[in-house]
Amino acid sequence: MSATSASSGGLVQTFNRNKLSWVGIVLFMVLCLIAIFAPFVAPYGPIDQSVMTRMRPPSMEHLFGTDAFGRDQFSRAVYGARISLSVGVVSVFLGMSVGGLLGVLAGYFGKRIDTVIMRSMDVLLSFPTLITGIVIVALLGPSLTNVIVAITVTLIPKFARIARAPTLAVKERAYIEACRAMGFSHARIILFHIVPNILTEILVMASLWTANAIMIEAGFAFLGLGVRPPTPTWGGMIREGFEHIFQAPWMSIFPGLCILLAVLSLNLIGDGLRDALDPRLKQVRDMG
Amino acid sequence: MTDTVLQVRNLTTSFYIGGEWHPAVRGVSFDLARDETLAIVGESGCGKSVTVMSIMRLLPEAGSRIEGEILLDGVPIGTDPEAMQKLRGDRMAMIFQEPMTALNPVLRVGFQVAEPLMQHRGLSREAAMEEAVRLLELVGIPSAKSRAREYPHQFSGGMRQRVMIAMALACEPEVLFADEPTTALDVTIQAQVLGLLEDLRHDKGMGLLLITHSMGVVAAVADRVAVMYAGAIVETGPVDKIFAGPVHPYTEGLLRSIPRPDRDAQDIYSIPGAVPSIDKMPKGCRFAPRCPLKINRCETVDPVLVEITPGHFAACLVRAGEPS
Repeated sequence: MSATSASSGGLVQTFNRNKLSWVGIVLFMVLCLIAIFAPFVAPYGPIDQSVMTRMRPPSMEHLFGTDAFGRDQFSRAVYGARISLSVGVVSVFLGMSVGGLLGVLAGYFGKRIDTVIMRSMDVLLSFPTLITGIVIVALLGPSLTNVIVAITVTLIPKFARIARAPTLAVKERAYIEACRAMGFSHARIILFHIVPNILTEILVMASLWTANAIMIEAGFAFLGLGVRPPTPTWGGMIREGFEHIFQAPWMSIFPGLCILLAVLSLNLIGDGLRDALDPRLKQVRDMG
Repeated sequence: MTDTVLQVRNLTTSFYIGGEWHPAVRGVSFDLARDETLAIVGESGCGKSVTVMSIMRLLPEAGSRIEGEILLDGVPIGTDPEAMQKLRGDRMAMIFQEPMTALNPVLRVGFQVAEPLMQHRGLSREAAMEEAVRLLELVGIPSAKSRAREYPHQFSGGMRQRVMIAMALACEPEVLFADEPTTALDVTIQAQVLGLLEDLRHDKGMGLLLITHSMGVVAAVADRVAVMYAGAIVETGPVDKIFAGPVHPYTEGLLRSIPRPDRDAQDIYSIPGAVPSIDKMPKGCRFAPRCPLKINRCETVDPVLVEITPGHFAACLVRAGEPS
């Protein structure tokens, strides 16, 4: 661990050597750009209906075909990227901040604080993600904010666990003892000395769980618990297409492909990061 | 050497092991003056480091108990954890044995030297960084300004120890504890680092408490020496007196076991046996099982420090006798 964090130059190199992780980064960047510049990318409005062009198969005019209301599926998918990506990124960021902090506090202070924090995390973890999410959305009502809240809540205990373990290891290091000998406050030790040392490990998980969050969001939307129609979301589009799956399979296939691309890109990034950060794998590579 | 900065009185530190409290440090008392170097010498496990950790209150609270009185500038310290945190790094600082691991690998060296100033002096980041560069120059790091932006792995062992010294000196402490500061360094670098510590101690008028297991280091830099065995000081006094005429058989053994280039390796003396473990301490004099001069009384009576000549104390029933 100290070797990897000490040589950040080597880290970038290892990451670079992994071509697939660059594919992931480029793919994810493209998706982000599409989401940001959706109004310029989409040829039609996402909720513009046209009775004349209902359930048209993919063509040059409508790349992904049209749905039962004659809405352009490509434009809807482009706008849907906004929802999916922002839910993924925002909820993982929130979950990482809150859960990571709780985990670091639990690991650093130990004893009763550790027990209280980690047992509450265990309680949250004991419910399946989807069930927790459904309960929260059912209680708060379906909306973009509530979907983010629901996913964040399910992510917090996972990040707490991921942050606690390396904190336990780092806090025994000589330099943390040196910090105490220099009379640094707990806040300073945690923020400046522990967090930078465990951040890399947390970021790997963050990239993988962003993919997960996107899938959960799609799952919610599919179940009708997500953002209310007519706002387009990938999960919602699959749900709408589901009713016409035999007459117009493109209605579900294309949003499904979008989810696949987003999840794939994030997983490739996560794999690349993990390979670059895992000292054991690095050793094997150096020998070979 | 009259201006006492640190007084330790009857310091006893016990650890809770296997359902019982065992003292690792027993009844240790000493004074440290400004601009003075006191060396604490002893084998591994004799309680040198625990003594310092007890003074700094760096031992884990659970399973340890610290008794006795510690006065910094005549004021008792060491009960309130928050007050101790403010003292540490500000008025008393510490240098560790392992410069390789005592610096945070992910932070720039300059920032780490600047941190104590931000913590204790409330300096802004910019001001503290400037001061850090000055400190790095002070401890003899060439082109300090650019090296301050580097990471610890770009520094050699000796240079890292200099960085540690710069960190410790940042707030101009009155007392500096150096826990085997040169053990991990090679001999030529040792001499440089010890020389640097001595110079800085003199410039700043600090009290320097040097922990070491090397009599050579003691001879080179210390003014006074305290020899520790099994948690207690067995002999203490000015360096020249102790080296010229050691009283305690343990001190004698330590001095005889210094390797010398004009003698063969086989001729190096080694004290028979090992330090008894903390839960199996003998009853009387704890050195008795290894002592060539042992008499029957040694096994029942625990000797106390007796003044031999002014400033020179030893605890040995045979050589120093019992207090009248």
